[in-house]
Amino acid sequence: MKKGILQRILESAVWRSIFRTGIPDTDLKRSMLMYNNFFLHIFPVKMKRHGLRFCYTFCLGGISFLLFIILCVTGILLMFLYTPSIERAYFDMQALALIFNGKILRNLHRWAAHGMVVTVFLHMVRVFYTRSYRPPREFNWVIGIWLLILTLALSYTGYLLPWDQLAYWGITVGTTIMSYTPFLGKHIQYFVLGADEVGHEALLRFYVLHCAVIPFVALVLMAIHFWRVRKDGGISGPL
Amino acid sequence: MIGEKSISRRRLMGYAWIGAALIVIGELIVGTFAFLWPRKKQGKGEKIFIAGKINDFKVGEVIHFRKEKTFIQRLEGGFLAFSAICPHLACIVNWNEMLKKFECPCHGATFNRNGEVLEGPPPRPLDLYKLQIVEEKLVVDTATLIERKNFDPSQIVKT
Repeated sequence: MKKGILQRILESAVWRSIFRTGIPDTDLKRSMLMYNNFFLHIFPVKMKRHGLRFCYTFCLGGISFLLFIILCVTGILLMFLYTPSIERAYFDMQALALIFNGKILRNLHRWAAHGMVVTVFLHMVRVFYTRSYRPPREFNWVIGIWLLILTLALSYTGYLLPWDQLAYWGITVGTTIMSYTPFLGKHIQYFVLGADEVGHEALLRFYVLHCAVIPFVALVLMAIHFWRVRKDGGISGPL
Repeated sequence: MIGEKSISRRRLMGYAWIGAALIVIGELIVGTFAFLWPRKKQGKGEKIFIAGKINDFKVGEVIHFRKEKTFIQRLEGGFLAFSAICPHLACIVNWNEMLKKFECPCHGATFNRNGEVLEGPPPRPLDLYKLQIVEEKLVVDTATLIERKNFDPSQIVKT
């Protein structure tokens, strides 16, 4: 019998070198599929039935991660059109309105950022109410708190980048709050701003933090966070 | 053996390696912070400016020097130089000529013409800058900030 083109592709050496398991027609192959795939291996091989119920998790962690991916994609596209200098930042931001899809990309980035703060917070509320912060998941709760802090830090550093009045005074107020820290306050403010007041140094510092440092740290912590869900015995039990 | 607990050569070498690694990591952390620590860019001399001659100001008038973030007010007895930076969270206050008070746009604080808090969150009155009258000219030193609890007539620089 002549083999179909799909069959030929699935049995080819190239395909089998990428996807080793083949067609997952047994339970063993189904679990091997999860183990052997880089992206799937952080998920649990088996799920508890109650964990699939929408009203148990409300998909809040997944929504947060989806929003993070949207933020990465739109953010990288916006980086092509933005210059972190006080002469150009505001005009580059305004010029997005003249560019094909510029406005929708900026607003996707903005609304996804607002949404991520909300969903991360609601995710923590859900974890708290289902008592999922307790052992053996206590360390994953701590990672989650760091991820909340990083989400807020991303929001805050992104706030300055449009370089409008709201951004300027928002960062002035925020960094002055930092300066109220006992003993070290003034030094923290000076270090964060890179100068005595909000200016070019602050814009550049916030840009690098927003586009490189914090997303990288958040991504590493997220990978550990998802992997720990599996290692700590999957989703928590029903109440 | 000198002490009761002896330490093996292997363990000693282990401690030495850990110590060396900690020193290197510490150097890297300190070095990174030192690299990122901002340079001072403004000299003290640039923080002094001449606001004008005494006779340029009318009694009761409040003039805003935007670039220097300073207000200069002439009172009956003399002058006051206010910092325009709100002592709450460092926004720039405005002088409302109609209501004769300073207003902060960020959190709604208001100050009377002597800089004392009328309403809002600031912890103290508007700060003063050191003001000197040299050859009939007003010289303001914005590097020297005078924080105060309340207004006192002795704060007025006599003409």
